[in-house]
Amino acid sequence: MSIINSELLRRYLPWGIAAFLIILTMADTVVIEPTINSLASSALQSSTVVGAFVVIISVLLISRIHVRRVSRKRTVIESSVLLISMWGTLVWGFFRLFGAGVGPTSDTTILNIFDMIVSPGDSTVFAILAFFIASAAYRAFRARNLDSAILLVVAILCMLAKAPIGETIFGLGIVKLTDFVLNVANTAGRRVFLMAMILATIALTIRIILGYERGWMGRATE
Amino acid sequence: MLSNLSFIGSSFRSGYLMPSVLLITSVVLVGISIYLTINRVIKPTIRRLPAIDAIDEAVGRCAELGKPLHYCPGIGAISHQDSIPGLAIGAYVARKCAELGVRFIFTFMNATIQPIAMDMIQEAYTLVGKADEFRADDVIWLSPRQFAFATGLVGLLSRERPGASLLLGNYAAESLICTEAGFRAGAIQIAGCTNSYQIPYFATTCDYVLISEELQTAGVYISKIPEQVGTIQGQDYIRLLILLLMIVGSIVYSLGIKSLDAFLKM
Repeated sequence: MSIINSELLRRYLPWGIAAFLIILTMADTVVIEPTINSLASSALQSSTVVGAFVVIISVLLISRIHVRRVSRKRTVIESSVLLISMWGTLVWGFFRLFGAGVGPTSDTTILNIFDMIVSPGDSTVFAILAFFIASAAYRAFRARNLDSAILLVVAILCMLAKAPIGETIFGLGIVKLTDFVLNVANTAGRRVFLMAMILATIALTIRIILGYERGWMGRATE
Repeated sequence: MLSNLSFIGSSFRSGYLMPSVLLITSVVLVGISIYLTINRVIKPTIRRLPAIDAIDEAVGRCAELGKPLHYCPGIGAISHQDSIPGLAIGAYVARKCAELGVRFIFTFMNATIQPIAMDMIQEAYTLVGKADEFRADDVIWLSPRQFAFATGLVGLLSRERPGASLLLGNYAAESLICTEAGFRAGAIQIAGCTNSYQIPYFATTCDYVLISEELQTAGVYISKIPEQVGTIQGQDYIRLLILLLMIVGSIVYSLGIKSLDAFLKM
C-alpha cells in the first residue's frame, strides 16, 4: 500500500489536524493569549485558502462531468451553455486582472453579468417563495384535529393582527395577543431548539475530537 | 481576579469565564458518559426516530418503482454543524441504494462538499462490491448561489422525478422551494435541519422531519456504536445540569439574591 493510500494519511492525519484546530479555535474564543490568538487567526486564514483550492477542484470536476456529457451527446445544449458561461467568465476575469490590472469586483463586464443576470434571477426565485408559502399554508392550515385547529386559529389571528384591518376590527387586544404568541410562546419554543442544537453541537464536536465522527472525512460507515 | 491565569500569563476574555467553565464541564460530562458506556456501567438507549427508520422504506420504495433517490446535505460548507451529520447519513443512504441497485443522485451547493461526497459515495458502492455502478455524473454541484441552487434542484426533481427526496443538512430560505418541488414530483420526503425558521416549512411539506438536534443525533442512531451513544447520554447530563441551574437561578433571583447571576455572568 502506498503512503498516499495509507491509514495514516487518509484517517489519522486529518483527524489529528481537525482535533488540534478545534481545540485551538475553542481556546482562542475564550482566552487572551497572544500565541494561541495568532495561531488561531492563521488557521482561520489558511482555511480560506484551502476553501479556494477546493473550488478549483470542484470547477475542474464539474467541467469534466459536462465535457463528458457533451462528448456522449447527453444534455449537449445545457452542458455547453454551462461550460461556456463558466469558463468565459473565468477567462475574462483573469484576462482583465492580469492584462489591465482590474479585479473582478471593479470590472464592468463582470459587474454587469452579476447585476443584469445573476441578481434579477435570484430575486425572481426568491419572489416565487411567496406562492410556495401560500401553497404550503393551504395544506398545513386545515382543521383535521385539535392541534391543527389551534394552529389554524392562532395563524389567522396573527395574520389579522399584522394587517391594518385586524386592529381596526378587533382593536388593540388582538395586537397584544399576537405579540404574546410571537414574543413569549414562539420565542420559548425556538430557544428550546437552539439550546438542544448547541448541546448536540458540543457532543458532535467531542465525537470529532475523539475520532468517532468521520462523516466529514468521507468515511462515516467504516 | 479569578479570570487572570497568571501562572500561564493568560486571561479569559470578558464574560467568557463562566461559559468556558460550563464548556469544560460539558466536555468532562460527555467524557465520563463515554467511559461509563464503554465499560457497560450504563446502557444508554436512543428513542425511536421515525424519520431515520423511514430511510430504509424510502430506498425500498425507489427500488420497487425503479426511480432514483435524491439526497442533498443542504447549502452549508463542510465546516457547518449540519453538514457533518448530513454527510454521515448520506453515506448510509448511498450504501443502502448501492445494495438495492437504486440510482443515488447527490446534490449540494458548497464546493467544499464535493471531494468528500465523491469519496464517500464511491466508498459506499465499493463496500457493497458494486464499485463499477458508481456514477460520478450523479454527484451534482448545482450552483454556489443559494437561489440558483434552488432553481437547479427544482429542475432536477421535475426531470428525474425521484421516488424519494432526502434533504438533511443546513437549509435556509430555499428550503420550501426544494421541498415543494419534491412534493410536486411525488417523492416521499424526509427533511431535517437545525434552523428553527425552516423546520415549519419542512413540517408542512415533508413526510418525515428531523427536528433540530435529532439531525445531529441521527448519525449516532444509525451507527449504534456504544462510544457514540455515550456522547448522547452525556448530552442529557448537560441538559439536566442546565435545567438545574435554571431552576435554582430562578428561585434565588426571585428571592432577591443576585450573586449567582453575577457569578454566571463572569
